[in-house]
Amino acid sequence: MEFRKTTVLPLEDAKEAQRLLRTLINDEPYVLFVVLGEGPHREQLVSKAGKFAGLESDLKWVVWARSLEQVRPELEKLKGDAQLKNRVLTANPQAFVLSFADELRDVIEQDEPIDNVRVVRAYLNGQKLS
Amino acid sequence: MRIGLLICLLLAAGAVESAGPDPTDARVLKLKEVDADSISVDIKADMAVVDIGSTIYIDVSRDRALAKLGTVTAGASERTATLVKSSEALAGALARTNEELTQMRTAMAEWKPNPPPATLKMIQDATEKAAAPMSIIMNAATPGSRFHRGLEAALTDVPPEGLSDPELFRRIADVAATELEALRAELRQALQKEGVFFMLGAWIVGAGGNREVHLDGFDDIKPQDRYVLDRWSIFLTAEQQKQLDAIGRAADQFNSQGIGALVQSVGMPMLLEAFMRTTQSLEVTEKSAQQVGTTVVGLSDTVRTELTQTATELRQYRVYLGGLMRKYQGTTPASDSGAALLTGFNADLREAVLRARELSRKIGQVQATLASVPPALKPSVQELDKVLGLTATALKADIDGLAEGVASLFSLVRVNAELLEFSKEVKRHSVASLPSATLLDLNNTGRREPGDAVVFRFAVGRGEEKPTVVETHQLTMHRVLPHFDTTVGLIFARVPEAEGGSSRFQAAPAYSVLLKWGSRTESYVNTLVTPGLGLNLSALDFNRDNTPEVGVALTLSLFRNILQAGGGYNVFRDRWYFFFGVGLPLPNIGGLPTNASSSLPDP
Repeated sequence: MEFRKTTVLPLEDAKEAQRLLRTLINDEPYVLFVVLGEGPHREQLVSKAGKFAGLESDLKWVVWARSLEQVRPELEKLKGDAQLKNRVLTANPQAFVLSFADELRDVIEQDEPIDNVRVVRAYLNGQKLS
Repeated sequence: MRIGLLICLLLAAGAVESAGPDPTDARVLKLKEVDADSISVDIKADMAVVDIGSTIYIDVSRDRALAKLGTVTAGASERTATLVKSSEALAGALARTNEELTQMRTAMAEWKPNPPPATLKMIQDATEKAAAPMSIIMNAATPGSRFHRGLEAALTDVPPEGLSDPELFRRIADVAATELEALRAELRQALQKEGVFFMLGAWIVGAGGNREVHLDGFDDIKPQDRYVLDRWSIFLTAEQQKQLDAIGRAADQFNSQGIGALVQSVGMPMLLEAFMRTTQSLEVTEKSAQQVGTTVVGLSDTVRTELTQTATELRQYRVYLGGLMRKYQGTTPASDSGAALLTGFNADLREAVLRARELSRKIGQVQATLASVPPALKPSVQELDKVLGLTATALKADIDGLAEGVASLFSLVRVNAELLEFSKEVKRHSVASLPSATLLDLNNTGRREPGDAVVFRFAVGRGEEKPTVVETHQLTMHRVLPHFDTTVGLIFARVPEAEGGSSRFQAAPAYSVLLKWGSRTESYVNTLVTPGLGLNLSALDFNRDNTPEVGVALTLSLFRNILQAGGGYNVFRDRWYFFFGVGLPLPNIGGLPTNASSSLPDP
C-alpha cells in the first residue's frame, strides 16, 4: 500500500517516536493528519490521508502512530479544545488533525465510517481559520 | 473546462456578483444611475440622491430574491425553508471559493523547495481563507445524500499521486455547483407549488402626493406623460409670467402702503381657504358623531361618552377656526401694523396647529374604539369612521400642513415608504418569470419637483396573502447637474438718491437666470444652500414716475432663492444700485412662489 507524505513512527523506540512526533508538531509548518493504531483499516486510512495530502507545495502531512501509548506524553501536551483532547486520550479514536498553529481541530472517532469525504473534511477542519 | 462551467453557472445565477462583506451583498436590487451627461453612478446606499432627469437601471437578482424568502417564513413549508437555507449557504460558499482560490494559486506559485518563512506564511494564510468556504461546502454533504455521493465519486477520481489543494478545491466546487443547480430546481418547483410570488414597484413621492409609476416587465401601469426639466432654458414659463404680474402688484402695494398690506393681501387668502375646508369637514364629522352616539342601539356607555366628547371637541375647534377667519377676513390693515400683524399671525398659526394635532390624536383614538365595536354594529359606525378619517386628513393637510410650508419649501418631503402599497396592476411574478432587469427613465414619471423621491419596493408573498416588502430603496431627486434656473421674485433695491420722506428701498418685480448645481453626496447643498449665480433683471422706478426702468444686476442666490443679493445698474437712470431679494417662506402664497423653476414638459 502506497504511503505518500507520511512519517511512520517506530514501534520499538518510544523516545524516538515521541521526538519525531514532537518535531513534526512544533517545527514543521503543516496541517498534521495523525492516524492512531494498527491494522488493515488504519493502514487504509493512512493511505487515504496520504492521497489527499496534496503535492509538495501543499502544507499537509500524515503521521502514523501505531501505538497511542507510546506517544501519549506528546498527546497530553496538545493544544486546542479540551473535549477533543479528552477524546484523543481516552476514546481510542482512529485519527486526529492539527492546524497550522498545532491546535487540535478534528477527531475521527473509533466507530466512524471513513470515506474520502470524511478525510477531506478533516483536513479542511485543520486548514481553515478557527 | 469545468471551472469555466462553474463560473458560468455562478455568474448566471448571480452568486458571485459581489463577494465579501459589502452590505449590498444581500440586496435583491442593484441600482445604477445614468445621468443626462451619460455619467454612470452605482447606487450603493438604500437612500441616495440622484439627478431628477436620470435613468435608473435596476438589476434584479433571483438568488437574492430567493434568499429573502428566508426572512418571510409565514406559509413556508419546512422543505422550502430548508431548500432556501441550503442553496443560500452553498451559493455564498461558492462565491467566496471563487475569489479565495485565485489568492491561493497566487500564493502557491511562490513555493519552492525549502521555502522561506514568509512564503510559508503566505501559503498558510491563503489556505486558511480558501478552506473556510470549502469546509462549509463539505459540511453540507450529509452522509448518504445526493451531494455526498457526488463528492465521494469526485474524490475517488483523484489520482493516487494526489492533487494540489487549489485543484482539489476546484473539483469540490464543481460538484457543489451542480448540487446548487439541483437544489434551485427543487426550490423552484416547491415555490411553484406554494404559490410564491415576487413584486417590484416604483413610486414617485413628493409634496404633491404619491403615485405609482410604470416599470417595464413588472406592472401594467399606464406610463406617465414624459416630463423633462430643461437644463438650459432661460425663458420664463407662462406660470412664472403670471407670477411676475402678481409680484408687480405686490411691489406697488409695498411701495405705496408698506409691508403690512403686502403680507395681508397675499398670505390671508390661502390661510382662509385652508380654514374653510377644515371647518366644513369638522361640521360634517361632528354631526355624524352626535348622530351615532345618540341613535345607534347597542353601543356601550363608554363609547357613547367618547363620541359625545369628540363631537364637542370638534365643535370647539370649528368655532375657534371660525373666530380666526373673522379676525383675518375683511379687516383693513393699519399702516403701521406689519410687525404686529406678523406676530399675531404666528401665534394664531401655532395655536391652530397644536390644537389640530391634538384633535387628530383624539380622532385616532375614536377610530380605534370604533374598530373594536361588535361586528353587528360595524355597519352603523362605518360612515362615522369614514368622515373621521377625512377630517383627520383635512387637519393634517390644511392646518398642520401650514406649519410644514417652510419644510416643503426646502424640499424636506417626508417620505413614509411604509404607506406605499402595491396596486393590482403590479404583477405577481414566479421565480421563473421574475425579470432580471428593468429601468426607469425618471423623465417618464410625469411632473416632479426637486426634493421628490422615487421609491422602489421589492416584496415577496405566498398564495393570496398580502406581499411582504423585503427591500426598499429611496432616491431623492434633485437637480444635481449644472443647469439654468429662472426665478421670479420681489427685490428691494436701494435707491441711490431717495427723495425726502420716501423709503431708501424700493420694491420691484424681477427675474433671475441663475446657474445652479447640486450634489449627490451633500444633501444640504440640494435642500438648504442651493447656490446659484446669475443675472437679475428688474423693473425699477427710481424717479417714481410710474415708468419702469430696467435694472441689470449680478446676483448670488442662496437657500432655494429665498435670499438673493447683488449689485446692478439702472440703465435708464444711469445709476448703480445694490439690492436684496427675499422669498416668502411659504410655497405658494397668493400666487407668489419666488422659487418657481422653469420646468417644461416635453413637446
